[in-house]
Amino acid sequence: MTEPVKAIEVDGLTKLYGKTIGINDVSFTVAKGEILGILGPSGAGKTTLIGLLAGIIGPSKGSVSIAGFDIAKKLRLLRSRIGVVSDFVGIYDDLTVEGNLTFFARLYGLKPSAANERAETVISLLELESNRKILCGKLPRGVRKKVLVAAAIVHEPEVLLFDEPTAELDPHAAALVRNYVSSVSNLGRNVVWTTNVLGEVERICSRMLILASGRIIADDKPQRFTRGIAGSGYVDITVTGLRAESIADVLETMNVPWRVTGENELHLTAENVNEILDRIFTSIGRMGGSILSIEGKIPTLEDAYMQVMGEVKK
Amino acid sequence: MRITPLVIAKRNLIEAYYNRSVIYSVFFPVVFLLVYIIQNSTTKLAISTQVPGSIIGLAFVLGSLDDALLSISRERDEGTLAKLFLSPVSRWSIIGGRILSSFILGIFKATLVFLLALTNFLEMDLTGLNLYIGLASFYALSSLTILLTVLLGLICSALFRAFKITVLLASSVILIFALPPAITEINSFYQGNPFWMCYNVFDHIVKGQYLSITIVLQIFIWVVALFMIAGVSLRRKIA
Repeated sequence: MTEPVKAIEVDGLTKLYGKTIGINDVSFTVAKGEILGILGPSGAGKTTLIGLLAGIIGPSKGSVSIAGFDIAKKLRLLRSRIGVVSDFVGIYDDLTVEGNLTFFARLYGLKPSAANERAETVISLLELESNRKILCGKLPRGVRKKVLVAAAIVHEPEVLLFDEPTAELDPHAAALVRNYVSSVSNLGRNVVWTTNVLGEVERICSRMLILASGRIIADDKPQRFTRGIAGSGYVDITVTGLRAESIADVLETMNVPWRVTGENELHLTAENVNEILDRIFTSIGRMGGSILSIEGKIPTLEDAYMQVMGEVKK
Repeated sequence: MRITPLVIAKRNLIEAYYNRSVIYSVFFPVVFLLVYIIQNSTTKLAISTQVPGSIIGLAFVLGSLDDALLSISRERDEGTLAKLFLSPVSRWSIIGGRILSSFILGIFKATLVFLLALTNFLEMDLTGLNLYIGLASFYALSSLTILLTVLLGLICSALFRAFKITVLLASSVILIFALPPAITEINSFYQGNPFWMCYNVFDHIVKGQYLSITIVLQIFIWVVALFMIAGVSLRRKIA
């Protein structure tokens, strides 16, 4: 099997602010086309990490390579390949939405006509048409955030470094940004996405890191991490019209761990409870029984995250 | 052809238009001149001998300083400086764009102040050929004074993050450079001081004397040196 192409490679990255540790010996790689979600509590180092990856702040130790180029040595070359949304970067309040986007496109070497064209594309992509002639200083925060995202993608970067890009966005705008990110990932571009919205990581990220106190405490696929930490889901079913034990054979064939907890009560555990429930319901129906009550829990990323962070606090 | 400094300068001029910085920054020099005029309104002859270029020069310095100081500090606070550094634009283009826009604004302000001065300092001998030579020299020296001020302001704001510290530092530096020679006119002590040289030449223009090549050369060396320091200090703090 061929090893996936490493689009981003971080090795022993450390950032100290005086005696305070921002990022502590962080190493990871991002494969081409991967969307990497970064989670962690406030102050964990998410924004610092984005700043380091973008070359906005310099590391105290360690290195970052993007597309094989060391960012410390080839930052100028890499700048046109990176798009950043972060608290570190802003837009001009005294330019209109269109003016900002055209200005930034021109800084990336586009001629005026091409810059206008690109600005037009991202305005349409993020549905900013009604705001195009408004000065950015007069925009509501949510729309301003959309312009920040638009300014980060106006030059079609290969690597997107997004620090909480959907914070302050309304659900529709957040979905637009997520859809864009998913679509560029399919084109082989990379995204590093920090967020406090765990659902976003579950929905769009192919991999996730959890940072705490500047260190990586988890690096996995979201679903695998959830199963590994929060364990399997469980369902308690109370049936009527037949004894719980009579569906034992069905459960055995599905290789589902189960136990009888009462005359009509069953307790099932499974990694993917949702997938097996349909078959169980059908079997119960066939045997002439029916379901009196059903209660259970399917663990989410939030459960796993809270569990891990609880252990970290201890 | 690299046109990035022009693109950046254009944006800076738009900013100046929206925040009315020209009006605010001309306020102090104009008040300064008016007070001077009112105080000396009874003796016009005395005014003409005391108007040295230092007054007009000081007006340029104070009028131009705000562009330089505000520009980098504000851009840093708003994150637009980081955004510029994330693009393939060099720091020299950023400094160049800022100097260009500050220069254009500075010349505009200088013209306003100069027109006001001209209407009151009637004894200036600026007629015929002298008028053209005088105006050419005036704008050439205004440009140099503005350039030096803007560069010093850029260095100060590039070196320090806090806006207040930047303003204090730059004001102190400019005052050390500008005020003592303007007030005391101890020429020998300030030889080589670019601001003193500018004032001195303004003074010479008013009195009908002209530039020397040594002065121009010295000012040129100062401009280049300050430009280099501004560029290097900007990089040190941002990247």
